[in-house]
Formats: sequence, structure tokens, C-alpha cells
Amino acid sequence: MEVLKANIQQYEALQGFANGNHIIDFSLDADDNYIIGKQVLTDDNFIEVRKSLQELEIINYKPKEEEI
Amino acid sequence: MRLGLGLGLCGKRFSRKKFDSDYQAVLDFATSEGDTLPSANQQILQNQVVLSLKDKGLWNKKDAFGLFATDGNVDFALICWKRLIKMTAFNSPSFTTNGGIDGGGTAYIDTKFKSATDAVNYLLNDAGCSVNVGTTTPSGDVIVGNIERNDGGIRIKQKSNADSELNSFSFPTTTDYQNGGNLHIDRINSTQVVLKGEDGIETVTSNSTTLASNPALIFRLGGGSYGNGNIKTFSARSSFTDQEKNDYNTIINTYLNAI
Repeated sequence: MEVLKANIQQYEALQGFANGNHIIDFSLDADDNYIIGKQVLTDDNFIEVRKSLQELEIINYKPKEEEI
Repeated sequence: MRLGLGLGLCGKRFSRKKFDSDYQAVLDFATSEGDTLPSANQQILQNQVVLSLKDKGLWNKKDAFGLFATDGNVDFALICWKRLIKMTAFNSPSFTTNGGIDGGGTAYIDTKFKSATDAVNYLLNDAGCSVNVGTTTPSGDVIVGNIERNDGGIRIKQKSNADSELNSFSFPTTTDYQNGGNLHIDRINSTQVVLKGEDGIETVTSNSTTLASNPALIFRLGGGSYGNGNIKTFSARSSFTDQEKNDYNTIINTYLNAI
């Protein structure tokens, strides 16, 4: 699965962006990259920051090892 | 003249009684939020859900209830009917008209239900959660979780050899919920949790520990586990008897089959 990776500047600009009850929230992958799913690119709730989202790097998702 | 007045009053009286007051409150809240309401026909069906839950004594057992399968918009779908608040959609979960909400990627929903502070009926040793979900692949995973694992939250996984939790540390289960439908997890006392899906029932020994100070999340568990499934309903409540679960299933299935 492909996800979007943010560098620290992109993360700080986008993290927590909210449109009503629709919010952007990055998580960390196994390599401690800030990542978010690609579906944010087509969500009209995030149209205000779509250009910035489109600038994020596409990488393959490496989930953190699951804890129990 | 008198006849005309009488008919007019009669008509007003009927219009006031159109919906149950709790369902009307949902519609009024949605209107105040600017949400797209369900169609007129679906409003009748949703009103019947509330009436049926009340008739079976289930409405007053709930602390949270969301009905995501609707022909209203996604913002209507995110209303908690018991608390009249909006659940929060993180990272664009996918909404399909009448199909509910899908996870995928890093999308999840914050129900804003923290059992340690928000619960009235959901108690440490008398608690439950019901969801209606679609079928999924064996890799389908988290349906309900918390940001902190083993912190007394709700954990439901749609997965072979899954682990679960309810006001406790996690415990292994054999219930995989792979057939979807109505899934229930109930803590019936301080030492036992009952899991019931469409294809079986399992009682697990698990000591209760604490209620959760973090909200129940749909499609997310811990820092990095996300679910790819589909959800149509969510509720947090006091525990159900087996008959109450069957009654609940009938009410929800009747609605879902009608939309």
C-alpha cells in the first residue's frame, strides 16, 4: 500500500488541519516517517490544503510492528 | 368555519407527533449543523430504529450510538444519536451512501466516547459494544480500538486468532468475525467477557482492570494499527443478554435490509 510521507516542515504545516469534524493526523511508520493515507488527496474537506498534500512524497507503507 | 378550524388543529397535532422526540432531536441537531438530512423515507426507517430500541429496552442501555449507513451525508452519519455530538473523521475514511464508512490507509474515526468520563450505562463490570460490519479479508483487522493498548479500552478485531479487550488487558480469542454482520462484545462481570458474531459465541476469562481515559476509535488501535473494514453501526452500552443481542440484530438488520 502506498502512503504519503511528510518531511518535518510539511508535517508541521499540515498536522491537525481541521475542516469541521474532519482532521488530518499523521502517524509514524516503521522508519519513523510521518505518513498519511492517500485518500486525503481526494477529500473535499481538505481542498484548502490539497496543493500541499499533493507535494507529499509517495512511499510504500511499512507498518510499525504490532504490539499486543 | 368551525369545521375548518377543527381540521386545522387536528393536522397540527399529527405533525407534532411525527417522530419520536429522541430521533427528532437528531434531525434538529443535524439541521443546526448544516448537515444533509436523510431522505424522507429513510427518516421514517430511522425513527423506527429508535422506537424499536426503546420497545426492547435497549435505547436506555446505550451511552453512544452511531448509524453510519444512511443516505444523509457523511456529517450526518458521524452524529452520535445518544450524545448529540459529532464523531471526528481523521484522514478521510470513505463514506458510501447507505453503505457506511470504510477504513483504509491511516483513516479512522474518533467516537469521542471515553468510558472513564462519558459513561453512564457502560460500567467497569457491566459493559458492551456492538458494531455492524461488512465481510472482510483475513488481513482485515481493527474495527474498534484505543490509542493506548491494554488501557481498559474496547478492542474488536475482524481477524483470525485475534486479540480483544474490554475494560481489561488484551486476551486472545478464537472468534474471528470474518462473516461480518452484527458483532457484540460484552463484559458480564469482573472475570468474563462474551464475544458474539453471526457465526458463534465465545466466553473468555478476563479480569476487568479499569475504564479508559482515551476515546474509543474505529479502525485504529495503538500508534500504528489501522483497519481496512467497513462499519455501519457503533454503540457503547451496558451489557446485553443473548436475547437482547438477538433483538438488537433484528432491529439493525431490518433497517439495513430496508435501505
